[in-house]
Amino acid sequence: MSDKYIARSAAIAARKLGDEMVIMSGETSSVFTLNEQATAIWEAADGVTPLRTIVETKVCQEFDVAPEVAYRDAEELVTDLARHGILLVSDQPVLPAG
Amino acid sequence: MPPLMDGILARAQRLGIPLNAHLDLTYRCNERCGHCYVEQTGTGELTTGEVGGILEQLAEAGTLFLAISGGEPLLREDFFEVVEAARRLSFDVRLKTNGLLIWPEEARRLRALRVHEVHVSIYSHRAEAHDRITGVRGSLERSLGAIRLMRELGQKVIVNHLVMRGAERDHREVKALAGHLGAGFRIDPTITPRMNGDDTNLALNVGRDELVEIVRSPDYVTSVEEYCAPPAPADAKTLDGAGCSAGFTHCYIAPNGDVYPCVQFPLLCGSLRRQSFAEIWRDSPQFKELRATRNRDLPVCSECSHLSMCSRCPGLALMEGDVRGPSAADCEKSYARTGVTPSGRPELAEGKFRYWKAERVHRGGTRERHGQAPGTEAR
Repeated sequence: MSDKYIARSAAIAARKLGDEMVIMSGETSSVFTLNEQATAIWEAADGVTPLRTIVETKVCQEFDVAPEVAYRDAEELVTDLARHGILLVSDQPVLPAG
Repeated sequence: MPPLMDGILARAQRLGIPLNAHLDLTYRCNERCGHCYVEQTGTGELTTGEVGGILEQLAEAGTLFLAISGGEPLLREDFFEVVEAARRLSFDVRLKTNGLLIWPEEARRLRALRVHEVHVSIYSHRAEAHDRITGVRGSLERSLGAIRLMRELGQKVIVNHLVMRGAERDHREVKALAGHLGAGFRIDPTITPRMNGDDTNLALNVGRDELVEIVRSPDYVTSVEEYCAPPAPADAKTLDGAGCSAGFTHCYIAPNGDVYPCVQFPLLCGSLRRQSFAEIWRDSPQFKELRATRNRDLPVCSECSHLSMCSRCPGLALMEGDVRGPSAADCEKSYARTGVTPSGRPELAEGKFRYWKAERVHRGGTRERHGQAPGTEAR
């Protein structure tokens, strides 16, 4: 099964507010907030670590979730974030956001 | 404001995070606007390295929204270095400029750095009026040229229009011009006193009729009916609440590294040349006292019928002599909105208007008593 690689868009601004991530998309002037689990995935989105590894090390271990359930939710999340242009998703490793 | 943003601000306030910061890189300017609150000087400016260190501290403290302004910030030779550093630290950057120094290369760099919004001040659609206000011949043409350059690259631009004498009732045409350029539009009906306490610029404020026209215009207010409704009595939640975000989720950093709650709030809270940002934000007695103040502690405003809807500015109140007192500019705005006389401002109903003041408070806290300010006669 091919894995996914995720990287934060260079076009956004983001800051952690407590345990939640606040993301501002300058292109659409839209603001997003991520919950604790999504924030863990966002912070690990370095473009080179496979999504499955991120889910296993940052979500399953930290939040006590079954791997397949967590991976399915993570795929849904990254697809949604990519649709909003704030995350890059690729089948190959991608350069991290500057 | 969208509900999500309301929730984010409330969360930042609960956590004590300065989500918004305003950084003036310089007080030098290439325009000479008579209304400007800045004393034009280039002395004591932070170095590039100092600014970089401050940006790192702000990011660490949780600041997301960073307004970069001045003076004219592009006069700093390291301007782009600073913006690059800010974007590298993932700030949402908004630039406030007159646009005179934005040529194709500058427009390209701003766009490449993903500056979120560039705010350009336009005082009138008429060159003779705009240029007279800025003191620079050709400035309107140049500012509009800069806006066109940025818009061609897809840069989000906001036209900031400060309403004042010399360009009375030009706001509709300026708004139309902004629309034609593909830019957003913001209108501000209030001129604030200068940082040195000199308030002679307040005489440039427009009269009550135009203020009423603006605050009751559906062009600028989402719901006139709601915005201009007679104020509801203050409930316990309002009395237990605080005023604006200054000192709670917002701070201002001057070109020399001095920290204030807001650009129009001359309450010096510390210097970043002597202390860390975290120390100042967390421990400054001035910030602590500001955060401890509740609406019920305001001697005049807590009794005022406008409390539940007033946008009282504690900075302007301080400049008028008492940080816990009413701010005349806001009393006037509330009166213009509702037609109901605020407590402690009977002079408004008598036709007197604009900034009745007892004393000036300078940055750093020195005070100077004086009588009625110029421009306070009935209009």
